[in-house]
Amino acid sequence: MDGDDVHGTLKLVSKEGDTFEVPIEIAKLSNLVVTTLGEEDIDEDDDDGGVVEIPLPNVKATVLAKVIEYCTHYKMVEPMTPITLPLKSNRISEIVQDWYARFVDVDQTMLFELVTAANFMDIKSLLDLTCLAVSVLIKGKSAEEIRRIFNIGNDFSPDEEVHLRENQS
Amino acid sequence: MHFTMAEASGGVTNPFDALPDESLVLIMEMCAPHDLARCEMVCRRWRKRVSTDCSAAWLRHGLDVWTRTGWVHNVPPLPPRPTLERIGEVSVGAMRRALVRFDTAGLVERDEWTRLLRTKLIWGTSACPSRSPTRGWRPPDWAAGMNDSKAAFLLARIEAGRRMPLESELSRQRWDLAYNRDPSDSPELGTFEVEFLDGHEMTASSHPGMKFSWSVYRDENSVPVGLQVENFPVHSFERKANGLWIMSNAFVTIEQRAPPPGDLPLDLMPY
Repeated sequence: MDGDDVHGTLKLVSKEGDTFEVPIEIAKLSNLVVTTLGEEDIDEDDDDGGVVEIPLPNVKATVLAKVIEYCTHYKMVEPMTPITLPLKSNRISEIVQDWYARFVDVDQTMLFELVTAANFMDIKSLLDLTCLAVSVLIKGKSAEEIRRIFNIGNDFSPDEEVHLRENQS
Repeated sequence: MHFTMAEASGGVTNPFDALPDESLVLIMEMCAPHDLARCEMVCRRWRKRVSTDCSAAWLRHGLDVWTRTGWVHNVPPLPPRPTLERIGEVSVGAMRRALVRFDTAGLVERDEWTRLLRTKLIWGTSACPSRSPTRGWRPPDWAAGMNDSKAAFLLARIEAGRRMPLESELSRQRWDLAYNRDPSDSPELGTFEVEFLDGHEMTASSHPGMKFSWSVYRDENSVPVGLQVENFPVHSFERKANGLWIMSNAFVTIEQRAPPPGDLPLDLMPY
């Protein structure tokens, strides 16, 4: 079975129902895919011409396309340099290769969708990369700016906030 | 840039709501300490994650920043480096009576020897967080295998503002120093204190008769670069009122100093 997988494809189905046919070897960067394939029965082949479909109800088509682009580059061109802590630099391009740095140079909405997708699909290297990109967004911002940028409500009571400020100073 | 997620996604709220705590913690662990301090002020969820999950990050960043900023901003030029013999001599004399407590907070502007330690004591492997095997801070090879009953401290050589290679070319010299305190030495077990080199407090713990030894690691030039302490008990973390951290146990207290205002220059990023 494994030998066949190397050259086979599977279908990833986005939240909207769009189908992406992806080589299994590339899709296997996702541990969710690996786990799902492990659970599939061998005799499923006759259902759908041998192509397994994996629904990804949390992942939009536009995001899934980006994820597949990432996995393809990772598998076919060059794996990403692993991100290890503590970070060696505060610039993404000095931590990973240029292609990967450019990959996360996207708007915030897409970036967070990618974090969520990487988490859901269990792609560790992509999760590391996207979390790194979010940490760069946070860098140098005050708490108030972080709240505004990410639309986070301030749920501290006024007393708590005074206390926190005192502790920080 | 005043671009908000709400504008970008048609009223979608806080994008972090969709992220599980593990991802949030991962993001925070990638933040520098001064950014982490601001994260704590954002909201309750962030504060909780910072205070409960990021202590390893705080420790890793904080001690490093402490050391480096201490060196760069606060420490006067070092006096001539004391000889190894002197360190050994002092240790033997002191260890005979009591356990050493390096109190980094109290070592500022003290004598030459304490200043040397203050600027060079960086971290102990006993603080190595084991709960996060893939992301946890890793001790250097020579400190591998230590646990809560042993600790290693790296004495960084920082010359001309640069860290020197730390893990290679280490030779090892060992002094086994038996700590055999007679309980009758002290009228009150656990409160026994003596001066140590005018800078180190010595505090007797409740471990009378325990064996206590340390080893000094030297580099190829015989400069001490590491200190291993055995019979090192479990560490603890404590938060100071200003949000910084203290790592301590019966023998060693390492206190994080506040980072300088503003962003750290690149060469001060955690290594």
